[in-house]
Amino acid sequence: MSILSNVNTDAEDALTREEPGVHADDATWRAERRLTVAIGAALRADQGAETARTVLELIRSNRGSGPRRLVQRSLTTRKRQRRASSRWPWAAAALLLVSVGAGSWWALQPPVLAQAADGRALIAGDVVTTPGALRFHDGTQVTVGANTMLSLISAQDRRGVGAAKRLRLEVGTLTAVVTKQPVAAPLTITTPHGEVTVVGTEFTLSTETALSRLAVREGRVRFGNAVDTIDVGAGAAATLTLGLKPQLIVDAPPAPVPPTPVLPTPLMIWDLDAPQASASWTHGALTTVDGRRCIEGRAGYLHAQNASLVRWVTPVGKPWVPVLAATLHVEAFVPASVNQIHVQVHHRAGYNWGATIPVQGGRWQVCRVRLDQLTPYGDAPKRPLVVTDELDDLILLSDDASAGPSRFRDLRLDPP
Amino acid sequence: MEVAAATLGSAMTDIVSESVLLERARQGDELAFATLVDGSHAQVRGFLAARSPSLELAEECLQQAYVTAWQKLAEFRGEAPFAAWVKSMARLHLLSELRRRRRSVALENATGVAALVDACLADAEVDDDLLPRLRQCLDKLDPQARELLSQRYRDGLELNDLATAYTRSANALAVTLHRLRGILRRCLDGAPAGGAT
Repeated sequence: MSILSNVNTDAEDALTREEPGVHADDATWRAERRLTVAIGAALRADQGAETARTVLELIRSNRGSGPRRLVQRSLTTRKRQRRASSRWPWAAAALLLVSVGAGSWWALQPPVLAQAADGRALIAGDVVTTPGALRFHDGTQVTVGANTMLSLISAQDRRGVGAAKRLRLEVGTLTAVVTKQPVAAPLTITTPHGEVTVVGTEFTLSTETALSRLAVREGRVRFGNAVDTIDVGAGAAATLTLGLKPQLIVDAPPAPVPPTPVLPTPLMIWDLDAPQASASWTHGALTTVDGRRCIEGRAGYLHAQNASLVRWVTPVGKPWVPVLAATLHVEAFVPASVNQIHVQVHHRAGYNWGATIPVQGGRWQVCRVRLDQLTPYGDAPKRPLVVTDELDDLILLSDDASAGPSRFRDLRLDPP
Repeated sequence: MEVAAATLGSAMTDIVSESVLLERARQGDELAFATLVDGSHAQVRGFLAARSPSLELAEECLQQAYVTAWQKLAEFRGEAPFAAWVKSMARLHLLSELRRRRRSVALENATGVAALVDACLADAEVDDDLLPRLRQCLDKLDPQARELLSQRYRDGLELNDLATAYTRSANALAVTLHRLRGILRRCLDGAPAGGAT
């Protein structure tokens, strides 16, 4: 009997199964999961040469110390290596290169991004799984604790070529002493719960099942996820749980943590050229209260569709101010027969978030909705919306186009 | 080492008997051992994949099994095929890892994963012939579909990264992957695998 039997083929079911971190305790999910494992293994069945090479590396690195995995080349790295040796005769040639000439061997290798404590050269995709340390070319040092899985995703090579340093801490603990990084290319460490962004500091980061924990010894570290981001200063600690705001640990040792910045109200305001104009389109811009222009484009009344549309266009060459968890404030005047309006935000990738707001027709009234609480529609990712420059349009419309035109004014974004 | 490697290099193009390779490997010839790994890994990998909750675990146990095999080569008398011997070690590594992870997921209260690990530990009704049949079904798919499956399930690329690469939404790709899995399931059950994207 196949382990893959009793599988239903409902498409919605599959969506759930593909979502990382979403599990269902049923036979269908288990069968789907095991099928994906089997597919992956079947597709790797022609990788004997690579398997042999990995095993030889392990044997050489563990000689005399029993089986213990030090560094595992990730699947992505294997894919790169496979291009050079997908058939056994080629693998034999590669193995000969190992024996005959180290120079030839390294010529085939991707750039070395860091060095492990045992002297091993680390490349993108390597996973460090045992206690040790890795050191980047600029002197940044990351010490890895026991029972830790840390992936090296990217970094610059010795010549300064390559992307910013990026690591992923799957589980366990690391301590980092980070040399000053370029502001535009900070060191980033992702965990299952969020992300740490560092320009230059000393800190310890640990990841457990439920949360990630950060303790900063020196400098300042940005810690957060799609919901919110906070700056954690020297001497402070914070935790981060998937889908929740990061929390500063109250009983952390006293530290010079700066006060939480007071957000101006509103964050941004729609600055119309002619707010009272009855023309179909009115040009304007959303600006921060300190005068920086953040979003510009057009707003107006689309009488035919009974909708008002704002294009979220990031001004070229001007600083973009990302808006996390903002509240959309708008005043609406809808016909007497209309009792709700719709807010939709459109992403460039082609999906939408939206919400319905109840209103009373025949009078001006304030409507407010938190953007991070909009509902993802259709294909939209099942996560809170964050206003970034990837968003295209904000559409406001009443639910009855035949009832007559609706009007919207005083559009602005407030702090949540 | 150069001489040994060159000798084996020519031998590898011919059929080299397992016993000869074993004898060389026992004498410390790593390349002979590499040939043994190449000749047996598909069986061991298939054995592990049919019983593991993740490809990563299967790969880890595969590596561990071969390292153990290298260390215990002197104890192997060649009475059973090399692949069968390595499978027995792979099974022990897998059981050990599953038990360790079972404790771990129980602490995490991840019931779906815990049930999966339990099912793997139960080890019943496992289809050891699955991988060869699955490979035949994969060969019948369009190259594009096969590439997508490879990127997702062999290389472990994230759905969101794939969505960016394919300029499609993650959910749309999830549906495509689901349909491809459905095609493979039907093929495994005996129905022909058609092309799909």
